[in-house]
Amino acid sequence: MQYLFLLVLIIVALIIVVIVGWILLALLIRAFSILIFYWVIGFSVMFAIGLFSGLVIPWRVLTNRGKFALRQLTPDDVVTGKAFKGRPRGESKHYGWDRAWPMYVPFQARQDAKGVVGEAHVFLGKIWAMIINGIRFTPLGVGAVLCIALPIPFFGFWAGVWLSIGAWLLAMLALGFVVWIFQRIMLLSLRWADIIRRRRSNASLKCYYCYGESRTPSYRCLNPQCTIIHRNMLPGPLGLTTRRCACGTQLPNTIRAAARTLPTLCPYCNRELAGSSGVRHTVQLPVIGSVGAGKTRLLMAAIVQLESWLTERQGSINAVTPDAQTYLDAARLTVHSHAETVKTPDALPEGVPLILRDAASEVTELQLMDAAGESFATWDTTADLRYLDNANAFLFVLDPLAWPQLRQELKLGGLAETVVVTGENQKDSYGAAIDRMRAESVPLRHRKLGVVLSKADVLLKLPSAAELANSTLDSHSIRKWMLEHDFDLLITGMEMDFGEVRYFLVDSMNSHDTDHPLSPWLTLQWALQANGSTLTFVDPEPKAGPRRAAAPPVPARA
Amino acid sequence: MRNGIPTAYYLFRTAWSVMHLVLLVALLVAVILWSVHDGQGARFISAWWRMSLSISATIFHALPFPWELI
Repeated sequence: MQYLFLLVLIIVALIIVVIVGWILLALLIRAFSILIFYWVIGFSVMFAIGLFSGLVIPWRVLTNRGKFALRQLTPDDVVTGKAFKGRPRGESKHYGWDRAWPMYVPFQARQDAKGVVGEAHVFLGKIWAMIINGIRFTPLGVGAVLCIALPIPFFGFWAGVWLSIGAWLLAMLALGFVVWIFQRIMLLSLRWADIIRRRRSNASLKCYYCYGESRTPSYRCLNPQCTIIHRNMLPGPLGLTTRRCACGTQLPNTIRAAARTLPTLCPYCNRELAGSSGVRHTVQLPVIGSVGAGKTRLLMAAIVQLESWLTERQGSINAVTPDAQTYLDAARLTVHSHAETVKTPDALPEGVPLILRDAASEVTELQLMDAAGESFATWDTTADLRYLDNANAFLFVLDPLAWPQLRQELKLGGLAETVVVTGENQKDSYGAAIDRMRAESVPLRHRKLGVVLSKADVLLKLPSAAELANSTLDSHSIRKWMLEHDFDLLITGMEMDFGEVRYFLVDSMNSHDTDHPLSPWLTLQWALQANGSTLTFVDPEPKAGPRRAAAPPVPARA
Repeated sequence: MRNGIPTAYYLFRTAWSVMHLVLLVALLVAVILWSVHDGQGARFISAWWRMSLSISATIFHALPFPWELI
């Protein structure tokens, strides 16, 4: 009986427990149904709020008001290779990137996008942390309510913010892509237009200090306080039509544009060169010859004649540097006064840069490289004359009076006192220059040589030159005369060395018309044309001069 | 330069923000226009409201009290 009563009690208790549990579960589900309604409303409302909150995040980041540290690229990042990968190409690659601001698209744009995403992470992370802290550090009941009430609306907010940020990234990507495509087209067009235009005019920079040749000159910043040198002004990651130097100064891009406004520097020795160096055709004219052969006199006489020839044809000749102006003035004075030529100092020569402009405004920069005869004494002394390697055409000035037979005739004719005759072995001077170029693997067969017999005013008075005086004095007749007067070995050597050898006989002491066969101007004209100058000249072949029965007038050697 | 940064940077950054704003405003305008047209917005909100209530009610009645079964 007792057991039966106990069983009934247990059954009743179980029924009560089940009914109470049921009621509690039903109550819980009802409460949950209300919560579901709240969550749906809360999620939707917070999603809309998040959508517009996402509008503020990019603005905060890009105005440096955000919590996330936006990486602002600087010229230092460019120099250290942190702004973008890849190294510069071309001749200036060894200098690395110039110290200038990178283009916004795509380099800084990429960093800005990362900054916005980072700021969104920080912003949402902070809100989430506040919710977690609110749940953890409030009384249990309040914490439980917060735990139920806040997370779902937060996820609505989170989704809204990320959708908004996604729209921002999409806008940036779309606009950035259009800008990038435009930039690429512009970059390639501007870069190649600059390169092709300079190639067509055969433009290059030739330093008249260190003799280095380059197609990418360096430029100093326009700001006088700034010492930054820009090594490659071609359009690229630092800008299209302009670039911003690290000092903030805006500089024109492309080498042609930069040459118009910026100080030009030699990329090898960093010395400042004349304006527009590197964007015009430049001819370095090396003159080879022993001491006293007549190199300096030839150049002075030729340049004075060139000046008069150009000015008669609405052209001009201008010295680029003060030293060149001094040289030009000295040349005019020496030639017009028939004065003795001052001995060229035995030092490494600086080129004499002159701008030649013809009537059609074609421009060539001519650099006269007049080294002292001592420079051609041995292979060692020619080693410093690096400009020999770059030239396409050379002038080898030969003093014919130094040849034994002619020297003898000079004495017999009583003319030995009227002229200085070189006392050195001229073959050695030629050999020293050629050996230097061979050692540098200069393809001499593709180069041209102008052999200039100097001192024609005296030579043509000698009996051995009578036949020459009665010839047309063109290259062929000069060569023929030289072969008949013991120059045959030298001629053979020169013609084996060079692809083209041209012979001139020059009187640098007396004034001649530019079309006279003894005119020094013809040597310069030939050298300019052989070096590809675009200046317009008259027929380079010397006109057949009148057969001269007598030697030219006696020079007034002071 | 502006505050030590190239002006082009500011122009691009402003362009992104303006485009972002334009996108969101365009989205908002589209939603408003769609809502205004033929009372679609009101219908959508009431449908959404009804759906929320319906979900809530479904769950609410998922488990009746014991006495409701009698």
